[in-house]
Amino acid sequence: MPALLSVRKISKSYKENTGVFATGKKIVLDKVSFELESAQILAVVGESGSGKSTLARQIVMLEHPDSGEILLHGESLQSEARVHQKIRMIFQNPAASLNPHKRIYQQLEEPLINNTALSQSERSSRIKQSLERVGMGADQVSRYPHMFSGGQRQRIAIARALIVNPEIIVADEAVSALDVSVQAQVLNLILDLKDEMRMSWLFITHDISVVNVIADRVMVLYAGKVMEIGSVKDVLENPLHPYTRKLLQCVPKVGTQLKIISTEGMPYPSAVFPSMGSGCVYRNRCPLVDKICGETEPPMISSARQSVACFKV
Amino acid sequence: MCDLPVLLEVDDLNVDFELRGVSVQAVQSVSLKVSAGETVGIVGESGSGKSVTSLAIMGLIKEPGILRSGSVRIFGEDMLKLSSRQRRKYLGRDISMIFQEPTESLNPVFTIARQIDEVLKSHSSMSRRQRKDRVLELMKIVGMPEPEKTLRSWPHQLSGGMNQRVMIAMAIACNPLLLIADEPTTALDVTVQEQILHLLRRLQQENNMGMIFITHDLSVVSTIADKIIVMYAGQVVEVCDTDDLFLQALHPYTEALLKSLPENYSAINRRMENIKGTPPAVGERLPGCSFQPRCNYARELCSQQKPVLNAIDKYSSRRVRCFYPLDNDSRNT
Repeated sequence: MPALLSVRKISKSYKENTGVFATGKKIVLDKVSFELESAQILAVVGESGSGKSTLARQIVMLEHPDSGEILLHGESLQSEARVHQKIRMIFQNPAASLNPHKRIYQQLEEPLINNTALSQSERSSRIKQSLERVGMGADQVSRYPHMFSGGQRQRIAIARALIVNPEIIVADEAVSALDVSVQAQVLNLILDLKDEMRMSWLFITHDISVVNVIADRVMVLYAGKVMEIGSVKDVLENPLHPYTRKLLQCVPKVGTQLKIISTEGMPYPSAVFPSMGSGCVYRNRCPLVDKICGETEPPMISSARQSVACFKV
Repeated sequence: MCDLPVLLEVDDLNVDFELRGVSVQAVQSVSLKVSAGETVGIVGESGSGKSVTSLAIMGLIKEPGILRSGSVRIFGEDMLKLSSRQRRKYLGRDISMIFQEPTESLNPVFTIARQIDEVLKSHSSMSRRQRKDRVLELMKIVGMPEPEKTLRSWPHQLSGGMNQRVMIAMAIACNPLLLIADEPTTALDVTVQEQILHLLRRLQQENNMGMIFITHDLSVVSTIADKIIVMYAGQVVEVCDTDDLFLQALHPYTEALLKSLPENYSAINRRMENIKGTPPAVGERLPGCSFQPRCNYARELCSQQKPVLNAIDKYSSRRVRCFYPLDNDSRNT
């Protein structure tokens, strides 16, 4: 039985202006592979520039990878129409992803018109259902987005993603812009939807404390490469990759005082990952760096619990 | 902390916004004090009035905002009574501010060197050569890699974390006595956030600088602040030392905020507690406590009268705006 979604060695690069007339290639994703099972939440974590959002765009077919393939139920993603019905996306800022000029009803109806053959009355009842499922009253359909709070808008964005009964929702920093109390409401909603509708989520975030609450598995990206992947329990309790450990260390926790250390001599975490040639992409920030790290790229070492791309484990 | 000089004293600050003839109270009787070497954290959700408070301190409230009443004294001098020309002598030199979006706060058409130099030009009598040295020194203080090269860059060539360092360099250029940081790390990655927090803490200790740290993130503020002010719907609802807050929240809103932090939950205990309902809408005025409709502990009195910010006998340094603070002893009485 093939996995619901399996991503095999996808790579993506963008053109980059390196001089006045010269262009180069910037590799954003480099042979990323993973699988997503049904009713599972896979969190993707990494710093800005690590390729998280680029990965999301490939999966929903907003862009096409340079190489590699993405399989849904073992079949290659061919027709965009089919993908748009099975995989939906939610963005970070609901105020920007909802159209300010259209009423909620129109915005929810649009994916139904484009992707289904439902009649007008069927569409109307589906819209009501979907709003109720995210905890909003169906009487609010004739309002405009600005009449809702941030949390409500994100619920509407979720309702719009749910409305075509997709199998996978790709959420790109879907709770990052929300206040903590609202964030808690939306996270609970996502967990409920996963259980009730057996829906899978690719949950992109930079907030590791959120990963712990919501995800079943977690994938750590750095400079477009998978550093570590495994169950949330294994990766967060027993991180193997030095980068995963660094990320976990940096998460501020209530009640811990900041240690005063000098930032001098500390390798600067750069959002612009330098082209590193061969070898491990993390090596110039890695405390465990060794000769071999600069020579060959570390292969993915898989154990029963988690997979990690590092020589030093 | 008591023996250190008080840098900033805000007393009964009220800021309204006039919207279509309706006056909205964005900040209601906020008072606070910052001493040298002290960090005061202001925590609250969007719309709680934390940024408006900081703008009022800087004297940056513009139409349709109106400063109704209150005083902002810096070293005893009431800033709000000064003309904007007189105030400008203080701003940028004695008090400075860092904003949330570093990339948007920098001028995109000037190089980094020029932007930092501008601060020195307007607030110091240094010669061109001295300023050039100071700019380079500042880049080193904020831990900028390749300082000479970065100085020749434009903001769009740098990452968010680097731009935030430039903002900090500008803010500390004249060794300010007070730094107001409004969500300085919210837009940054955790690894960069950690470095910026360390940097602020170090600068503060070296220069004995006072700091106001505004954020919506309780876990961040707990690592850096000595004292925390929790704001809700334009009012201060709780004031206390950082350590006390996490031992026992006294205001139901503070407790609810702490419970909404994802770090308290795990794969086993997944359903997070959340605050029911939403904050009062803009301009909505309740006869009683503004948190009452969302409060799990609300009683009859809460919807009838407005609570005041009261000291609590048991905790000398704490104040809370609640009729029934969440403390076992006082709840039973």
